[in-house]
Amino acid sequence: MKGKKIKDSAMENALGKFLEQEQYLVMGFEKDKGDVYHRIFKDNLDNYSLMNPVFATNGALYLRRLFAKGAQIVIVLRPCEVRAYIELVKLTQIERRNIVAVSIDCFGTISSKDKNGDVPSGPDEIKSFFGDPEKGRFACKNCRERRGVVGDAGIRIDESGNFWTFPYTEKGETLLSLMEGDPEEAPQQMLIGENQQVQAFQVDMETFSKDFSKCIMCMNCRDMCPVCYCVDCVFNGDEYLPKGDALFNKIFRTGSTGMPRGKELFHLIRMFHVSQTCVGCGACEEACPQGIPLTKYFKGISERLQGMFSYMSGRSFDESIPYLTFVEDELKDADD
Amino acid sequence: MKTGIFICHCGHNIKHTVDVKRLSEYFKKYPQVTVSEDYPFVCSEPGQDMISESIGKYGLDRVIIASCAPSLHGELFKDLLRKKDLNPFLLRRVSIREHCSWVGDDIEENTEKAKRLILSGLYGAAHYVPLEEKQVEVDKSALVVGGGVSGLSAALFLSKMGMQVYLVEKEAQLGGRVRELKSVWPTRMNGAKIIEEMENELKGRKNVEIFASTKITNFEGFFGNYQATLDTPEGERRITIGGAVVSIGFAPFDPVIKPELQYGKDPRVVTTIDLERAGDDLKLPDNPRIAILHCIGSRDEQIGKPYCSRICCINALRVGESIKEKYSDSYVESFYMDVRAHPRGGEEFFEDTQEKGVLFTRANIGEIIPTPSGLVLRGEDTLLGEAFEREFDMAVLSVGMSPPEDSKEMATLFKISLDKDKFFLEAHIKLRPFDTAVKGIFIAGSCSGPKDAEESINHGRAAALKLYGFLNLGYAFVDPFISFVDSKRCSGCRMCEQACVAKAIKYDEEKRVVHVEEAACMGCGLCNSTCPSSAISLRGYFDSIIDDEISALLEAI
Ligand SMILES: Cc1cc2nc3c(=O)[nH]c(=O)nc-3n(C[C@H](O)[C@H](O)[C@H](O)COP(=O)(O)OP(=O)(O)OC[C@H]3O[C@@H](n4cnc5c(N)ncnc54)[C@H](O)[C@@H]3O)c2cc1C
Ligand code: SF4
Ligand code: SF4
Ligand code: SF4
Ligand code: SF4
Ligand code: SF4
Ligand code: SF4
Repeated sequence: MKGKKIKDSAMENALGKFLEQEQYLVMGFEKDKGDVYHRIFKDNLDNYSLMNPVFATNGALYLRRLFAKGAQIVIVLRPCEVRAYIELVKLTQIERRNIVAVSIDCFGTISSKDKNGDVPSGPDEIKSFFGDPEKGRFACKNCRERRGVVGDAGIRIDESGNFWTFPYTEKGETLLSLMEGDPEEAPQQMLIGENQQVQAFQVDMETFSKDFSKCIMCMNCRDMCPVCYCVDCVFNGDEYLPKGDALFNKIFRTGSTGMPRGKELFHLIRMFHVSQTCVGCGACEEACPQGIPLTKYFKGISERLQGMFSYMSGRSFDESIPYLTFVEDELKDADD
Repeated sequence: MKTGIFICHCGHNIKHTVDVKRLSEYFKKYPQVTVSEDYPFVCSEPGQDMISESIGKYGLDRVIIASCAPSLHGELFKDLLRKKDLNPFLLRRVSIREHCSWVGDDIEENTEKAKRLILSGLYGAAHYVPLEEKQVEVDKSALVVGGGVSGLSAALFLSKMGMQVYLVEKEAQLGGRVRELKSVWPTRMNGAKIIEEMENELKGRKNVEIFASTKITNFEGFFGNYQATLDTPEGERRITIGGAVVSIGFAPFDPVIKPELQYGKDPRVVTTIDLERAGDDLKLPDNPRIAILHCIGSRDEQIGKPYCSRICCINALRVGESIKEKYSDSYVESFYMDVRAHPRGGEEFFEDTQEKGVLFTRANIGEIIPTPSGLVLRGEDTLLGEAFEREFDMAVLSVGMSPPEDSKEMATLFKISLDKDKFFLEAHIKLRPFDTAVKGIFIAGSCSGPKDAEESINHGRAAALKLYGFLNLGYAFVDPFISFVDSKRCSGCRMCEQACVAKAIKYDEEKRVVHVEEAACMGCGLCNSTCPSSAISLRGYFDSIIDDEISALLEAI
């Protein structure tokens, strides 16, 4: 495959051109005072960081319904973030027209809760930081797509540590054309390659009730989930979690009720809602004040379910979400 | 809330195994229940009077009738409410006959179950709101797709009833398969003649427009107001119609799928259709030996055609008879599974054919082996349990009916379901045999399964009559059970749009929310269960109703 080798700050220069000439915003990471966070850049790329080894939130979250403003924006994010963006495009929550999405090879990330001291941001530092694979989050250890192969373009790292940009769509070509240098044939083998992909894992539901008994129903997990896109979540209404008079009626009829009510119901229904679109990013777990291992359930169950439809969330814009399509002969091998 | 509960004894039917007195007493304790009574026959005039009086006397705003299945006396009880100026959708029927008293003899269990079901009705009815039956304008015109005998008879009927008819046929000629038949059984009329008669009658009519060599490329809209795009030899044409009859017929089974029969490879193997086409040109040697094979492409699980095609036995008999008539010195042997001489007079015809000298052997033919001198049929006599080999000069395959070529394409266009054999599926095999799930779209003729010409003609007329009944007034009432969107909650994800078979959901690019075209919605509720945030609900079937009904079934009482 042909791409451009990224020399020195060629990427920043290209993004700079998007900012200046094309009136685009850039969403990526910023390194400041030892920390790396998401940032939307408007005028310049001060403190821009291509990579971020710490995971706090999924950047696609911030793009939701931004399209109302017709925002022109280049996003350079981790694969799980770009994948969530792609799912949201399919659900018409983001308009793809003015967005250029670039995914970047990911070594894995640590939880923002475990962050301790200065965070490395250069690739070599990050690589050595992740020398111990056990260091990453559960989501990352089980990540099914760490390669920058989704979106309009991808940034990949070869085995000698060189960075490459590959275009996947016309917009990707535009990005490439704004970069210095000429396209050349890239090496076959990349640092983060196919062999690092893991399979969907089996979830042990026996511990489900126990794990979720700690839940306080703060719904942070839902609020931070990029693909929980609803303007007004069903759990805000009375349907599943009665409040006020409806709650009084319930108590009156049934005698007594535990508070908070409907923990398992909430998670099972949310799981059903996101099961086709969950990208396994672990943002939900990151947001949970109770330390509930949400990724294990959400990612595990969703990925197995998607597998039944030969679907992988966020893999491409063209594959439609299985719930939204009717195929006559599907689910043949879903008996297990 | 003032609820009246009326529990019917249905004479002996309910009272026999449900303690109706205990039930009516039990519900008196609920604060929202103003009156709770049991009565021998609530559907009788005194029964109705009792309910009416109670509505007036207590000012009831919910009526629960626990009796037979809701499909019985539905309109009767609704009218009762209407007459009392109470919205008919504030009525709740509970089935304690079909669902309780007829199920078992245990009075205790039946009564407990009835109690639950009535409670469920009581909880659910609390969420009811008055609903309005809307009137919509409908276009008094119809599209008929397919100009076979079924389509022609549908078009003729509709036209005679004064409706504007557009008949679309993909071939250059009308008539479908019947046009090819030399002698249509049982009348023995020439097929082309039958078609000509129908065609001439149709062509003379002012309110009929016929499009030959035409395909439908798009179909949208809703009941009473559909739009079709036609690809005609004169270019594209758009028409508006109130409804449609889809009658695209069948495709004859192609025996090439069964290579062991040598069809297409050896000219001495022919089908009943080839014979119809060849007619008098067929040249046979002296003392010809002819084999006729029944059930080709029917009753054959292996090739996915487990059904009987209904016409092939008669066709096989007709072939046998005509060969015997022409060549009295011939040897004609028919190999059958069972002879199913379906239509009227079929059995007599079977006997006639036997008398004329056609031999009938109950057998499975495994293969046909071509030799220079003839065709060797190898098979098993299933009555004697013996294998045999016999040589013939010619083998005639009595081919069955397969789904029409365009069945999938048309099914997608008109949102018609297919059955397991890929024929069109009716809404209900007995109660709604011409209807589809989409209002105003009907199916007729052999596209919904094998039928002979007479049946197809009747089917066409019946479908036309139903469509006429829907459109003749120029307006129609739509059920109030339609979905609506809470636009404040809708996130415009368009999931529901994909779920809606009736294409009733429209997305507003500007506001980024969806809305429901009321006339198109058929109240199936699919969108409701698709929407994650419950932004879309079905009138009369809110989540809260269903939720409370379920909780009534489960909670401790
Ligand atoms: C060998 C044989 C012999 C038979 N003999 C007899 C007999 O003696 N007596 C008897 O009662 N029955 C007989 N039948 C059965 C008879 O042919 C059928 O019952 C009859 O043809 C059914 O009519 P139809 O209108 O449903 O379908 P068809 O006759 O198949 O007509 C369907 C029409 O729809 C058109 N069409 C298809 N797709 C489209 C499309 N996408 N758009 C527009 N138009 C389309 C077709 O071109 C065709 O004109 C015989 C059948 C066979 C195979
Ligand atoms: S989930 Fe995958 S893509 Fe996302 S941060 Fe972890 S390793 Fe990277
Ligand atoms: S839990 Fe379901 S309803 Fe709530 S925001 Fe997520 S997807 Fe929407
Ligand atoms: S459910 Fe959790 S893992 Fe899945 S997409 Fe949402 S935040 Fe990420
Ligand atoms: S974030 Fe944790 S505690 Fe809060 S609702 Fe989710 S699982 Fe429960
Ligand atoms: S209930 Fe919903 S899915 Fe069903 S027809 Fe109406 S709008 Fe369509
Ligand atoms: S599924 Fe619900 S939220 Fe999505 S467009 Fe339909 S009504 Fe709106």
